[in-house]
Amino acid sequence: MRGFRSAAAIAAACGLAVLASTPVMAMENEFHGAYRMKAFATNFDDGTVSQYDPAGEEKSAPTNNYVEQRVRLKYTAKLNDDFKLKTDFKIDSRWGSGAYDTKRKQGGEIGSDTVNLETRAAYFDFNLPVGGVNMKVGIQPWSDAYDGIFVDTQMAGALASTSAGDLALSLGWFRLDDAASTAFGHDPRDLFVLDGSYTVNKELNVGASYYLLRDQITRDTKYLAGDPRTIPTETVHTLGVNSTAKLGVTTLNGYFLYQFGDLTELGSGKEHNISAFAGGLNARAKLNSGTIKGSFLYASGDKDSGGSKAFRDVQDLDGGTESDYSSDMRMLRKDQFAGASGKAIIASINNRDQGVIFASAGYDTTLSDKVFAGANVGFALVAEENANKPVNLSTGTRNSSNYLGTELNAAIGYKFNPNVTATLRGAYTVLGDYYKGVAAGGETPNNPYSTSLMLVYTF
Amino acid sequence: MKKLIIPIILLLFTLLAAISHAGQIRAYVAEFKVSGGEQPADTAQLLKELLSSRLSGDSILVVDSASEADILVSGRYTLAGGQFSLDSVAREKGGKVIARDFVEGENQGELLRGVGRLAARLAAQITANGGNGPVLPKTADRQASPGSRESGALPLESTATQGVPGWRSQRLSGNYRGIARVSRLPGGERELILAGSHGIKLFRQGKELRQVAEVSFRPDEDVLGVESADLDGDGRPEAYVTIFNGDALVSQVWGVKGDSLVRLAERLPYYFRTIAMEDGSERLHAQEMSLKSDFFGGVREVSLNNGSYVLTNTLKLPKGANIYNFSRFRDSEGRLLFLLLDEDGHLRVIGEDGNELWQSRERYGGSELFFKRVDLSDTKFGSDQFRWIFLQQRIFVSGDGTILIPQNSGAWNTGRSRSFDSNRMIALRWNGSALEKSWQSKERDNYLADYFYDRTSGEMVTLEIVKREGMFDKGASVVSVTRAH
Repeated sequence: MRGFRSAAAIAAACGLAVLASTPVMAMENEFHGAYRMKAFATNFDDGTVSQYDPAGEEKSAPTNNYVEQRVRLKYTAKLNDDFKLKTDFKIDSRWGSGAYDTKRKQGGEIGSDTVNLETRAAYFDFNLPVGGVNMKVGIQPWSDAYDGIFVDTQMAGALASTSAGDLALSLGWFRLDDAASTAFGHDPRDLFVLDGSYTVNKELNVGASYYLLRDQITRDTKYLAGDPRTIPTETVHTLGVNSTAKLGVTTLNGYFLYQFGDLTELGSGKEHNISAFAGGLNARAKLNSGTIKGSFLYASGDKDSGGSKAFRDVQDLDGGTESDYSSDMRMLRKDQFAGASGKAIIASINNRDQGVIFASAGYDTTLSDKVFAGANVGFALVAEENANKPVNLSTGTRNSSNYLGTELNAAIGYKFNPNVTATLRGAYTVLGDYYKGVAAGGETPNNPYSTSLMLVYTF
Repeated sequence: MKKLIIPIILLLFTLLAAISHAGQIRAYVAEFKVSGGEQPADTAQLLKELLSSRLSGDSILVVDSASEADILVSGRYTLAGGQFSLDSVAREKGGKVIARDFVEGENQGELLRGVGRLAARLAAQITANGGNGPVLPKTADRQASPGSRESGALPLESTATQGVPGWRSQRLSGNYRGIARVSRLPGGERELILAGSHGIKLFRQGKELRQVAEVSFRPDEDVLGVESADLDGDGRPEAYVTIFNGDALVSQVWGVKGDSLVRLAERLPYYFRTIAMEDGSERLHAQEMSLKSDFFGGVREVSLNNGSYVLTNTLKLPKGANIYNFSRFRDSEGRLLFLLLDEDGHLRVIGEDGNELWQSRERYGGSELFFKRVDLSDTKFGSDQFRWIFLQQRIFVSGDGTILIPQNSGAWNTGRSRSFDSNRMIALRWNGSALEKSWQSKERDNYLADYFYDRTSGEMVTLEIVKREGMFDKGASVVSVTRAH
């Protein structure tokens, strides 16, 4: 009787979970997150993630003054080193942008009450008991080994990674989108990835990759079916090599990607053989208390319709998936701190089949324990002109120049502590003659600018 | 005569029992008072039994009646809003409080562990304060012969003053992150190097801690730690300062010349760490960083050869070990075992074959010190373009196999900003199957940033943060010296 009473008391006091299994008690709960607020004064950003396109618009774009915020909440349920559930959620809001609704990027209006929680990632991260294989299964972030110019996003799929000595390998399959009304799995768009990297020594890494983007006759996928469908059907094989090396105080990262495969042109249904490429070189070096950096990127374009010679990147609803982390551009390429606002002159490396020629230089420095600053300059052209180039409305023809513009940007920030910073950022782009006379009335659009005060709390 | 046999036997048993319990404090645990929850009567009895079994040990004997006891332990269990609190107090028979502590839990699933923590804390306070019971004996494995210190034995004892600082510095402005002993001057002053985030300072310990010299590094040069070792054999150890400049390790070596700090070497691509392992000696070790790996290659011993630092004797380490999170000891049969503090603070014992033999349920170590490396591979999940790498506390292993390790308590996994609010030093010994606590200091309500054990004086020298750096406040630190014997 006494034992029964004790058992009953244990159940009452400790709860059934404790009695059920010991591992439950060993669960580690890990929380991370971030808050990023930006107050804009800009004639460039407008709260959307899109490609800058002044064609037919007023010469003088209005100045937008607004505030947007992004909250990221991440929770990891860690049973032990071998089993983790990882989740990542996001809440975007522009202040004053809707309430009592169910919609992304809203909830900033009086009353708030908006269903705007977005799931960025939810996946199971576990180690197999043999072979040292790590598996990630579910909706997960993934970036290629090439600055993310091919794909850098969250996708649903399965990724297996392992290493043997200095050799690391990963193999994955991702389902990018599936049919909306036909039988599931019949017409999906899939991505297969195989990456390898080898550490030659502490100052030299080499790697190689094979990516297969397989987009079958996608009639009705949610994002791409559209009316009309926005990208051609394609089967793209991508082969890549990359290397990172340290030479003295300089770190160099170079890569080259070649693509081949089949592409079916939109509308006409005409078929093409793909032959495209991209290559890049990044360099950074310590210089006094700062870091000097430079980058170059070339992605092939196609002067003809079809785009079979243009470098193909993986597209989603917002366009290209890459973000620019190497050159730190704000306008020419997608800002690494893009939130609800993520407009860029080059929104995807495919760049409407025009390709990209891009170079940048910059310097970041630490002025004191609390103050940091940086400045960058970037130059961009399209690699090939095609029908997607806007028409000069004053001449009725497309400009001969492929020069998109020169961006100058600078930032100065204050670090309250390792987790909280405030940064004043400014960017100005001198538009190239690519845009000459493309605004309404044959005017040349005014040079765009973007200034913002950014407050970041990361934990 | 036959009539006397039974009384004699009874007397012998009584004496044996008395002898076997000599040196133990007799404690009686009363039923808990229960507020909230179901079946309060059962819970009260259950908690009494749970605490009794966990309180009982080498130093404390839990008896069945208050009349047999030297001290009386009472407690209260409060359940509110799903959270619980266990509060307990231990009194001498005269009513004098000799221990008081509490634990809290977010849910009832944490209750069992909470009782264990409460028992450990009470036991430490009871044994430290002694009660009216007998003075605690020195156990054989804790005793140190005069020669054993030289051989690396750690003479930790349970005395009434254990864990109480014998000397405490004045409040030092700023949050320091590392401490190392340089030398003892002929007058008895101890020279210390304290490392801040971007510089080091030389102090001499007299009545107060007196700053003698200071050097500052560039704002991009983050100090990750400071070690001392006399590699040039001049009798005055040099300071080995690990520095990361955001891109690479650019560590420096500093010597003390008179009242000045003199730079002896710079731009060394190494992490430095003095590690005390199974033979009881402390040696300076180094490890490198590579483009992809934060800790690259093996952990190797540092020596000075013709004016150049060379790395030799690569240590074979278990998976997951790096220069900051491991040590080694030998068990009673002479087998070499590894100690590894994992990223969550669980202490693991690993055999030479790589098999894990034991893992602690409690967290040990715990450091708020980290550095960041650019990592563009995880920006989608990581919120920023950096990888945060947290360091770990030192694990000191003495020649007799005692393992000394700090235990910072607080927030481990609530974000990247770890925040510890209390600390204690704990000595552990391997019993063949698991690590057992053999000693622990009083808990102090500060974050312990770093420490070292001064084997020449048998003292622990700890660096604690008494006020954190704020937006417009530099914060404050304090150095304490605690006699360990």
